[in-house]
Amino acid sequence: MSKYIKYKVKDIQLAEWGRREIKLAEAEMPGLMSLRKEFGDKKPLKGARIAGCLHMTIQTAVLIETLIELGAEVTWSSCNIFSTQDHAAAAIASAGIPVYAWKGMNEEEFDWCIEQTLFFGEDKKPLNMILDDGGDLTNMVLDKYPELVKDIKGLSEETTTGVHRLYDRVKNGTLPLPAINVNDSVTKSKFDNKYGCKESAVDAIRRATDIMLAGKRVVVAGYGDVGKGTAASFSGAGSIVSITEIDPICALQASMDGYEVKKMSTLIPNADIVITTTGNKDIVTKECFLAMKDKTIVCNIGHFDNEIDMAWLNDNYGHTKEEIKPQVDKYTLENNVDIIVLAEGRLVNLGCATGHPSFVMSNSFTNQTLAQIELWTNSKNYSNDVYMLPKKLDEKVAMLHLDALGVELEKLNKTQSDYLGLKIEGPFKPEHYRY
Amino acid sequence: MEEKKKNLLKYAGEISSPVIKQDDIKKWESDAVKSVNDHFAQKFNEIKNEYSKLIDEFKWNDLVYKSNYSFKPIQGKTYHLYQKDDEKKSLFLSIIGPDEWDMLYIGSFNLMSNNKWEKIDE
Repeated sequence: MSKYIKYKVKDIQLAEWGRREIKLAEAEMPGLMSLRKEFGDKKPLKGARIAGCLHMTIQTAVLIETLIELGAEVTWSSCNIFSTQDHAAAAIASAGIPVYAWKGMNEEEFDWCIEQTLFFGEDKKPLNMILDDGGDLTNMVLDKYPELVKDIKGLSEETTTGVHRLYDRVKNGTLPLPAINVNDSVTKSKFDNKYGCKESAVDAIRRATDIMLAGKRVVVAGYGDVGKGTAASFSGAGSIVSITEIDPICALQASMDGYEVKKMSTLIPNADIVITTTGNKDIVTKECFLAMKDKTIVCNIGHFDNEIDMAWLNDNYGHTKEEIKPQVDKYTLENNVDIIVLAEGRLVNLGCATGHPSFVMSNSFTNQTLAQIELWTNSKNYSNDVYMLPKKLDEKVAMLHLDALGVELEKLNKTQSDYLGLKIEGPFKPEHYRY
Repeated sequence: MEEKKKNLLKYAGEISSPVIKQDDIKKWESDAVKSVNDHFAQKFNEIKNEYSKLIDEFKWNDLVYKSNYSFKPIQGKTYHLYQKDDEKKSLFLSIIGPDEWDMLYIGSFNLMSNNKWEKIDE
């Protein structure tokens, strides 16, 4: 390894701006701020050297500083080459925290940044905890630096992609340390997927197109958590929302929630906006494009950019593509039908809006922090497997957000708790409860 | 034969005349031409150097602007140019310094206020 580098960000002079936004975000991240209050003196993460690899944003800055407040040493890289907010990275670097992240890096730089986070300080002490989003840091350690694994007490993983990679490793017998799946905590996935998209779907369309949404016909492909949030988003804006589904349960839910559920081929000719939320591929295909009316808006808020067949569109009509503004492209099909594609078919709430609000991220990151505390302080209770956070901690995450919203919570009395067979302080639901 | 006009002679024609010495124009001329030639040679050289410096600068700028980078560079900051070890041998610009990693290093450049990349000599 080459020399120790304290940090690497695009422009350290952005630190003051970053700090002002971090202060603002703290007010919207009550879960993390409550943990600072609860554990600030006890320093449960003392001795932990946490290497983190997660989008280096303002919200993540609040997470990083919470981990430090709880006693940990932290190094950070971003888990996507374009997602860093340079002012957030600058503020973190300026606070003396080793961060290696900037917006618009390439793959070589991405790997370099992750590599810098593995060793702490001039004396290059290796990491002993992993906080990951997508599994790139985990893979770097397990595949390239396996000698470091013996000192790592555990890892917490933020997203579906990373969790899949971990379960694959369990199946293949190649997971050498305990892991907590933060993604599937109720207070993570429901808030990320449902309430996050409910907030940001309409925001993205408005910012990109300034179109009037009331009265417009919107087709939402998929009625999982993301679909439910997205449909609610457009409903709230006064749009006429229709759903497509393959799953009879979700289709019935959509129907009972008051949405028309039809096949894509039925809905497409009248759609003003088509938005995919499925996590599957080939949802908006050649046939869909050819059946669309003039100025139909097409976008994706699901998983990858393969929900919409952008390859076909670019191969056949790429020559007609006109950039209206960044992330908003117009393609002209036969008969002068214009199609407006947002964010090149990638996640529209990230491409055209600002992603999840701080409050939603506070739920995710409070889970992350509790997972880190759990793995660091109780590692002997965990073997080399993937675990979920205990229900009690999931409930705690929610609890930590209630005060900020002025929520008054009822309390079970002894008779009631005996009647339900529950402890007064919870957990209140069985593991299989679906919320 | 016509008598030479005394008033046009380049030498003394009478005993009482003062010494007439002709100026060495040839030498002066040769000296002057040499000096003016030196001047032009120097100027040509200066312009040639300037031109080749300009061409050099143009080539570096062309190289840097055509290299791969997905961030917006900031005026007054230094960036480093590297060559990837792949089939295309493509060039990319980075904020990572040459002593901070093991990558084929081409050069370092400062982005000037007129958006010209100025090569920094090692």
